[in-house]
Amino acid sequence: MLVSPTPNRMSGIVGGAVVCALLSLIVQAVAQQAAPQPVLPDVQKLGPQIGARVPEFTLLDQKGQSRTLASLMGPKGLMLVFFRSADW
Amino acid sequence: MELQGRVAELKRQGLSLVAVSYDAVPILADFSKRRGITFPLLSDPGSATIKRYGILNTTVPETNQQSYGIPFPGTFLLNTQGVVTSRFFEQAYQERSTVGSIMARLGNNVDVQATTLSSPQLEVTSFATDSIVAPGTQFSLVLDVRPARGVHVYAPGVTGYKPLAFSVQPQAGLLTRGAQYPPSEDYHFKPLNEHVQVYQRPFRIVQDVVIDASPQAQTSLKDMTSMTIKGVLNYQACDDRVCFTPQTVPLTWTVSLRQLDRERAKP
Repeated sequence: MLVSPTPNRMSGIVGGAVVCALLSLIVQAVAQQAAPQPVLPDVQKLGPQIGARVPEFTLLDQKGQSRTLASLMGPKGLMLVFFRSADW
Repeated sequence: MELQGRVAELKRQGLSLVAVSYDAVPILADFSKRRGITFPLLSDPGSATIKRYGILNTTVPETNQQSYGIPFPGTFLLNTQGVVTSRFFEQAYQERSTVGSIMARLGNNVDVQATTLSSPQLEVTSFATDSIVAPGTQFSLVLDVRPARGVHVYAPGVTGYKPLAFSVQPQAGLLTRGAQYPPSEDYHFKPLNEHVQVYQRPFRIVQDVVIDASPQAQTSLKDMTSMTIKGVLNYQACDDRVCFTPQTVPLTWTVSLRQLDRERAKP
């Protein structure tokens, strides 16, 4: 006799989905209660990651000369620093 | 600016140096003149490039005219293809890793004075990556450790022996991050058929520290022109026959403290 296992399996999946939805509601509720301040992003995840090529740019330097990644590049690479400001 | 002092060292390693901020060209020109900057500082008007890189400090409201547009400060090391090979970012905008600290974490040599202490089992060469620091400077204390031939020391986390541990004595104005230990290796002690994680080849411990830039810390740092940092290295060394008495090695570093440069560009 052939009995399809589908109904049982489906109810398992549906049950799991309900539990997941409930859990995520609880997690959201807890997160809302516990987050009165703006959340700082994780800076390690921002911007180009290791192995990624960085975006090109054309910017003026302090002498007013136009610079690109290619024009700045050293024989073995480039240290590219982003800093706050030279003014304060 | 600490970066300027490292230009020659980076050049010897084949690396160019460039720094980007949202400042206008005249501001950068004035800053370069005042501080003797010879490497390119790039002007990113409206922070367009900072935004394209996805590193705009989004916690600063647009209504804050002075601060809006600043990036989360950080450093990318790129290969000649423009691909990121390593990156160094700090959570607080006041904090930035020094080039020396980055070089130390990459395992490179750093042009600074080091002190070597030797015992028959272990040689410890230590240095601070920077001799002049300011509030917000994130630099590193580095210990290059060389076990004698046939000697091993126990890696952090090992039980039953005294594992290697480096710690910095806490003091006002100094923030201490977690020490970074390299991967250890398995040592098979045949008489007991025991496997244990050890170091038996030269290795480097890097301890990042930050001069506290918070307003509270400025009170305690105000009249200081230098800071002496004390630390200890604890270890137990063994060879394949005998374990030696656990050792405590006191280490000190003195760095000059500079107050923050609050001079603005002349209008």
